[in-house]
Amino acid sequence: MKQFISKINKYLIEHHPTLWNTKVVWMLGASIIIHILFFLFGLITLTNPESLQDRGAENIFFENGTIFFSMMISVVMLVLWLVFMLKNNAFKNYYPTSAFKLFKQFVLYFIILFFSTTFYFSYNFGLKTYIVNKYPDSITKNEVLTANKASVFLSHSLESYTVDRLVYPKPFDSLHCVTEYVKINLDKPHLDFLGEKYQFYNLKYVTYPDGDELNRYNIKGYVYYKHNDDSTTTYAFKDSVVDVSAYLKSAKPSYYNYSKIFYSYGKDDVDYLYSSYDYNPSDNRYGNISKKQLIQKGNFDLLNRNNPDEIKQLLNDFLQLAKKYKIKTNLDTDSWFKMVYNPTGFEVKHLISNRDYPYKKSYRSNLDRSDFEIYQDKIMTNKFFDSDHLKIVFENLDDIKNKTIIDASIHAFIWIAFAIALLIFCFRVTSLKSVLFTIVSGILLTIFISLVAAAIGFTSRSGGIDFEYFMMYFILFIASIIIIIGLFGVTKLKKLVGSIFINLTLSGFVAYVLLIMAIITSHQSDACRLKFPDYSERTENCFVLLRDLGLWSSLILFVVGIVFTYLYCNTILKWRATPEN
Amino acid sequence: MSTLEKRLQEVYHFFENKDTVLGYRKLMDCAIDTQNLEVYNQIIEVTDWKSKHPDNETEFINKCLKVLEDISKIPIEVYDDFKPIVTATNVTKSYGSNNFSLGPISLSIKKGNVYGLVGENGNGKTTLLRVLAKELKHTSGSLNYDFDTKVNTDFELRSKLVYIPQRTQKWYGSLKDNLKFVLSNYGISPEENETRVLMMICRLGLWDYKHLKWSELSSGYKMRFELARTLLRQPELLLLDEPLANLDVLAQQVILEDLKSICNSLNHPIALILSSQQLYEVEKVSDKVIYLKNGKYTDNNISETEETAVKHQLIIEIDCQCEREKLQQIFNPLQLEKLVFNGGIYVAYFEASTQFYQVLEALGNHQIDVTYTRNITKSTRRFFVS
Repeated sequence: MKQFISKINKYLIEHHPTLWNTKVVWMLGASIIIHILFFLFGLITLTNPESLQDRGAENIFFENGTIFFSMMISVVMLVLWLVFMLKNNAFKNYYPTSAFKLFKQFVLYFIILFFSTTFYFSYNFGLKTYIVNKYPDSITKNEVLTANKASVFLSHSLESYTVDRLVYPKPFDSLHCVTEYVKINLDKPHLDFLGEKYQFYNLKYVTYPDGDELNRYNIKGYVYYKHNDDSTTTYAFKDSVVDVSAYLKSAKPSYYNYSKIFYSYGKDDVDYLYSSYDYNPSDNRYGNISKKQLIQKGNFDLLNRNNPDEIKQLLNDFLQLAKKYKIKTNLDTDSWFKMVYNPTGFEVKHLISNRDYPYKKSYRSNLDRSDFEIYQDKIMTNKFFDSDHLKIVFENLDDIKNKTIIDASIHAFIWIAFAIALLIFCFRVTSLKSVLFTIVSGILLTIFISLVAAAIGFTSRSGGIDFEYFMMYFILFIASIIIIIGLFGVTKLKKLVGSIFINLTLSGFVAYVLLIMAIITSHQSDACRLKFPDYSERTENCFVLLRDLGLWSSLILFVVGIVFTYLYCNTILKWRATPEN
Repeated sequence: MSTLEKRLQEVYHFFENKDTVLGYRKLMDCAIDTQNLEVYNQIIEVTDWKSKHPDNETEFINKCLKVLEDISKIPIEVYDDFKPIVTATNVTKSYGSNNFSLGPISLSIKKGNVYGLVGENGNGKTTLLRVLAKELKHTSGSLNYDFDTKVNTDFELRSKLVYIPQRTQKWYGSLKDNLKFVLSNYGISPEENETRVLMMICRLGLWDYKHLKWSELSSGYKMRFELARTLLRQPELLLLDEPLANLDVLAQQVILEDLKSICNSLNHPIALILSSQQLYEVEKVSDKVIYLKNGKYTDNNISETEETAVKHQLIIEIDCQCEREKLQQIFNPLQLEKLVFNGGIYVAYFEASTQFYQVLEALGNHQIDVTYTRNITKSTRRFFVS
């Protein structure tokens, strides 16, 4: 091994001194090995299905301490790298160097830093690879289907089985049900179960054009609204009371009434109907209503077929998949079947606790509780099934499978690597003393600007000048002076002072361009605000630099930073060659 | 007989007289001049063999003579363009903070010559070296560099001006890697890199030290490694600030001789300027001595200004256990003009007609116990003791 390392080192030092000096081969080699280890670590992290029962498994990197482990490895790698790299410095020894060679060093620093700080991606790639292969989409989809079918018999709460849950068949698909006692017109037809009242209404629809903000806030009392494709919004309002006694024999909770979606696999098939009082579209009556109708239709068909074997098979399938994901339950097919199978009307007679332990009867006084609650408590059995965790498992599978490995967070890693690479580059071309002086100068400049800001902010409170613009232009002015000196004056100054300007220019140029872009953006959005008073019109009618570029601005700034560093290497060479005063 | 032939002859005689240490060094100089990698490899082989068999002198001489024979068959391209590579005209340097100012100094530096820069502490030796190395900006005057290879940028110029400060920087990592790194940066082909580095290690007597760490080296060897690094850069101008500091007398002599012969290379001569306090040693190897006093330049060979004018005198430095009156009495018949005692030694000034041997004779005749004496009439030492 030692011989192999010496052989490679000998080759590098003789053929590619910069590659030898920057230790890029070893660093990338080590990074690749550690990336592979993190990938493997990602692969085994979720092997226990129970680990899928915690919400946000896709971000487990941040939860289970891997982030600290990754940071620790990165820090150790980088410290070792610096120890070895800083042993030689051709530039400081005045060995022949060109601007390109200097730039090459910077790029190598960046590459090394980038690869030794991005184990996050390999880890997530490991997670995804494991989940995609262990839980193929086709199987998960079937399991979700089974869960959605069987969940009708998971009678956790009586409320899910009351008549207001009916969204199928006609006419319930287009009716609205009021359950709040105060809103119910007792003179009109309504249903009653243990004191809970249900009154059905027709809906009437009114469509308004979008973009009229004042209008929207004036619309009151609607049940839900839906955005249409033609820039209009349809609002549904309660109309007249409907007598549903012809369709419903009683208001008793029944498995027929159940219309909940156990889990909606894939994020895209949700109908976006926004209720005025419930912002979770999947939970209220109208969110995802078409899917609910579909599920309820399936339930109706199943119950109407009334085939005990089919129901038993369904329950069995569901318990099998629960076992696969280690969901806690004390249900078994037979006892569950006995609890739910009431062929006459499929009335809900037993409840199953949605926890991971048996339900304990409430010792609250019956006086505090409604008849409905007392009844619910009465029919609650000691059976339990941890539905919530199964939902989380599905959610996690869904999230991890759909996770984009190289997502927007890569920009953060790029900038971290860029900033550290610049810092090391500054240290390599100037000196530790100079870098420290630069940091001190930066702090002093910040304090100075803050003081000016405070002074101006205090004196301009009465109006007169636009504080935001004043500060932006003031910073731009100071930054321009620094950059101009950094570009054209470093050889005329004392060498140490010149090096401070070099460091400030190198490290501040990207921020300087960003500041210019921010100033342009401010002007654009101000002009746009004047031209289009309506907020919703602005997005499509105005070009606002940073907003419209979005993440592209990060990429553009990165390219600007790289190109500038390359061009600036010539100035660094000139500065280095100047004699001291 | 050409210079090369003379040199080879000289080496042959050294080995004939079994003066192997000096002979081997001279042999390596001739080998370096060939710029032939095969010869280099032969030298490396012989050096390795010698380090394993330090006592087998006869075999060693035979091996050396074999190499010598091979060298004699190789044509050497002799460098003959001895134009000044640095010309300073009325260069001055003054520091704002104090009154010290250097110059005006005019000088021209040629390849193949060794320039000794002497003067007491604080007289501007380091300043002059740093000005010549472009480390310091000069206040006025002009400084022209005319190297054989064209220089396009200031950085390129700086990469040709090799200046070794008095306190050299610590080396990190393997010593050999540091040397190889120099050559690869200078674009030496990968095949030649190792050989050239080892050849330089052999030449500077570092063979047995090449595997050590920097911290394990004595200051003398540190200076030698620093020199090896510098010479691998094939500089045209080499500026050394106090290279003899911290070295013992023997090491000083060896390093000066090495420097002298390396600078006198046939196909790659170097212009060398070195500053030192070791007057005698420096004067011995220098082709020209630059004496600085209060920042002013005194040319030892051309005496023009009043200050530098050498009166027609014989100046003798004597260290002895003898009363001043007795010495005065002894020297009076020899036209003694002045006898100065500066605490440790006497400096006696005679008329020019007096000869040094007469002074020695007088001292001998009076049985004076002389510890040390030296004729410093032509040495810059006279400026120090006066």
